[in-house]
This record gives sequence, structure tokens and C-alpha cells, in this order.
Amino acid sequence: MNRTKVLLTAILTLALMAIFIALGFWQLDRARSLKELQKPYQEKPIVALADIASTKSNLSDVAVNRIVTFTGRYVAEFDAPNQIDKNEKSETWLVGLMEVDGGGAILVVRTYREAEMPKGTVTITGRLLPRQFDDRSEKKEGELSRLDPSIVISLYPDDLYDGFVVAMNESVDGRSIELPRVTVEPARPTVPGYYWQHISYVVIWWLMALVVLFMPFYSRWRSKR
Amino acid sequence: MSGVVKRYRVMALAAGVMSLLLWFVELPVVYLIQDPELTEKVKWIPFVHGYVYAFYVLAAIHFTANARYSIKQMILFILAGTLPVASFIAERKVARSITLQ
Repeated sequence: MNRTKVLLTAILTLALMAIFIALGFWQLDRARSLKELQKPYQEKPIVALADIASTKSNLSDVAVNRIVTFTGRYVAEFDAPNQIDKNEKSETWLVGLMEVDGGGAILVVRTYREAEMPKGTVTITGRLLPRQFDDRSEKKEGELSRLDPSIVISLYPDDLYDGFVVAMNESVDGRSIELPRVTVEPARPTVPGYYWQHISYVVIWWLMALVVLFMPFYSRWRSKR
Repeated sequence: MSGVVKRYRVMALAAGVMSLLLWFVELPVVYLIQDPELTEKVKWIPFVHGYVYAFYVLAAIHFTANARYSIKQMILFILAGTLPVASFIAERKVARSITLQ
């Protein structure tokens, strides 16, 4: 075997091994995230929305379920039928599209029933949840079939935050708006699959890395024989 | 039949059965039917499949190295465990070659 061929084989072997080892670490990371997310949710301190979420990226796992606070003004209002709260009760929720001070807009679940949309700057404190993927109702004007910012993308010219906020409190000029608030359970894990399934994939990817390492030696051993 | 061949054939059948269960039972239940109760019942399939495939790879390497197969054949035997019927075909090929010998 000439030197160039040996060098190319070594580079290819190392590149493939690096890919398989990285894939193993990726699955290990998913297994760890899954375990972390399955623990009962521990409330963390209230944080400013802009500190943990951005209009430029999807909601991260660390941002999901956090209680956030932000100010802005409502620019649109929708009904979201057949939404299920903490008590397994199916209701129509009143959802506002709020333009957040500092840029972007986010969907805010305000209450169960009809309520007047506050004018001017409103301060929101609420739980940040991931967007819904399944429709809860048929698509109609003025209604949201699911709580997903992609549905209202055509109604708002600027960027939208991923996910939505279930308001626990709304206040205008320091005065709290009294409304029956929607209560929801913290969101379930967003990493698909099961812990031992991801671990089995770690085993497979790293086994593949060993197989790749073994191949050139096998080739030499076979040709000698 | 040597232990190496026997181990390969057993693992090929096990990997084939697990692949069939994964492709035609677990994946449709999770992604098409989306019934949480059924999903709970089939959740063992992906991780049993994962471990069975790891042992299948080891058995395939042991068998192909023992039979002095080329690297290309070894890789094809390893990949056969990822598709539902490919490992059955590989197992039948091995069984036929033994009968001919």
C-alpha cells in the first residue's frame, strides 16, 4: 500500500470515527435532557422574556415553563377553542397578540371568557410554553386552531417569538387587571423517545466508531492470510 | 454448524423481527395513530431493537471475519440489520451457503 493510500485511509477512518463519536455524544445528550425534563418541574425565579427567548430562534428547553415578565401592547385578539386547562376542562381561551417593547410579538393567553382588550402599555407575568403542533379546532377567521405563532405570521409584519405565554397577571400603570386566569400544567418533555432507547443508540454509534477503526486492520489481516 | 454461524443466524432473525416491529408497529403507533395508551404499550420496541442491533453488529463482524469476507460484504452484512427484511435475506444466504458446503 503506498503512502498516499495509507494517509487517505487514516483520514477517512478518523473522519468517520469523529462523526460516529459525535453522534453518540448527541444521543447521550438527548438521554440526559430527557432525564432532566422528566423530573418534577421546579419553579425558578421570574425572568425577563428577552433574557431567555428571542424572535430569531426556537424556544430552548431551558426557556420552556419559565415564568416570564415583559411589557407591550396588544395588537390583535383571537379565540382559541377546545383548549384544555389544568383541570382537564375544555374551554375557549381568549388570546392576545402582544407587541413586546424592544421588538417582536408573542401570543398571550389572557382568560377563559370575553374580556376587554386593555389599551396602552400592559405588563405581563406568565408561564412560557412551547407552541402547539396539533389543531384543536377548524381554521376560522378570528380563531386560532392551535396556539402556534406560525398561524398569525401574516397578521404581524415584524418577527414573532416562538411559543406562547399563559398570563398569570396583567397590569396597566401598576394596577392589576382582575380576570379569571387560565391555569396549566408545566409542559411535558420535548425530547422524543425514552432514556434507554437513546442510550442504546449511544452504544450503536460508538460501536460503529470501533468498527471503522477495526476495518483497516481487518483489511491488512485478511490480505496477509 | 459452528457457533459463529449459529450466533449470526440467531441474531439476524432477532434483528429482523425487531426491525419489523419497529417499522410496522412502533413507528405507525407513535407517528400515525398517536394514541398515548398504545404508545405506552410499544415503548419497549425501540430500545430492545437498539440493543439487539448492537449484538447483531458484533455477530455479523465475527461471522464475516471468520468466513474471510471482504470489507464490502462485511459492511453490507452490518447494514442488513437496519432494514426489516434485509437481515432475513442475509440469514437465508448464509443458511444456503452452509447447505451447499
